[in-house]
Amino acid sequence: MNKKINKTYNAVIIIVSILIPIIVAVLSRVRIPNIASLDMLPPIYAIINGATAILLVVAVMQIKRGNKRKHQILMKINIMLSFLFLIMYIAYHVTSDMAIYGGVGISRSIYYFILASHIILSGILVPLVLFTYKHAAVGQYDKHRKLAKITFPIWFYVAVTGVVVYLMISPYYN
Amino acid sequence: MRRYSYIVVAFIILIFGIIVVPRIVTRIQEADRVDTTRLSAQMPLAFIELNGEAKRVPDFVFTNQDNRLISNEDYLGKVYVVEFFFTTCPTICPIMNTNMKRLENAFGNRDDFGIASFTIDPEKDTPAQLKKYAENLDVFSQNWHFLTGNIENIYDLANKGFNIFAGINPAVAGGFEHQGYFALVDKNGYLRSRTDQFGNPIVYYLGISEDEIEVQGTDMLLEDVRKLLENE
Repeated sequence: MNKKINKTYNAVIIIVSILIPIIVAVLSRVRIPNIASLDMLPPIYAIINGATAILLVVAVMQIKRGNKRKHQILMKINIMLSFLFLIMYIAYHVTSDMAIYGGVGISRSIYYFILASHIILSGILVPLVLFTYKHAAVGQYDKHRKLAKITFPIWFYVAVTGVVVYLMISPYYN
Repeated sequence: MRRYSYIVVAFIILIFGIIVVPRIVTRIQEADRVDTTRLSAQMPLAFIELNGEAKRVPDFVFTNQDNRLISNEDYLGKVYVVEFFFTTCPTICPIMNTNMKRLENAFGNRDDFGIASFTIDPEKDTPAQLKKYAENLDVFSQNWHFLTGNIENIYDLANKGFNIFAGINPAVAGGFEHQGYFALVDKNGYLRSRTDQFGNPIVYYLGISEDEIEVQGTDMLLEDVRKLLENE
């Protein structure tokens, strides 16, 4: 494989991986005043998160059975779903005040632990997904398989905790 | 197709869960809230404490519409409701006494229930004037006294005895200022009331509110009078 192209890919992935968290962090602080809250979005992107979790498992099962083609399609769908989630997440947060978790005691600690781990791991997830995808796209299946063993559990955890966070915070949406 | 049915089932559970679970949680939380109001409705009425002591109606002696002297001792052994009003009051008193009438209609035949309506305009509200007023209202209870007397004693009783503000103010309609509160007194002369959701006594009932248990109106007062009559 052309080393130069490989390096370019890597550079693009690294830049994208740095840019996405920054863009999300900046935009989720922006609040467009006097605009109707897109408050129908959180349940929709919670469903998208859950769908990602389900399809990730299906995709892994497909490749274990040797269905390379189905695995490819499913993983592309998953990447699109995660991207869709990101767009909706930003769209919701620039139009709505942040909901504050109203639970107390142990449930509060659990909520913030899940939320913090969800946010941190989703940041790490961006380069992991892109590198894993790149390895497969260029045919480096050994590297793909090795990295996927790390990427899959993290992605699955982020997708599932996305649903859990929604379910915990939803009673406190105004 | 059967191989994929579990995926379909997973999706259905997911969508159903995300839509339904928050509603169930909200419903449960609201049920808790409803329960606390129900609880306060079932709990015994609170005493109104001032400096750690349960507040008792101070001694008083006034003249009623039949020119009889009525004192706080006449009300001992009776649950009674207190208001401050005046007969020429154009604004809130008619509403207050319409509500008081509901209490009379409910409990007016009992010896252990009474009403004390103190005038805050004793110069105009002589016993004769009060008698006329009572007749207009079709008062039938032997224990509903319209009381008049020394103006300072009345204002003292209102402002210090019950902490219901009353004062002369030529600027307001009728020339007197007062609050449309009803105070509830138990058979031993102690001020009583229901508690709010935080456990604090609401102290007064709103004499100008017709119903709505939530806004401590006459419906709530009816319930609480009955509670004192039946349980204590």
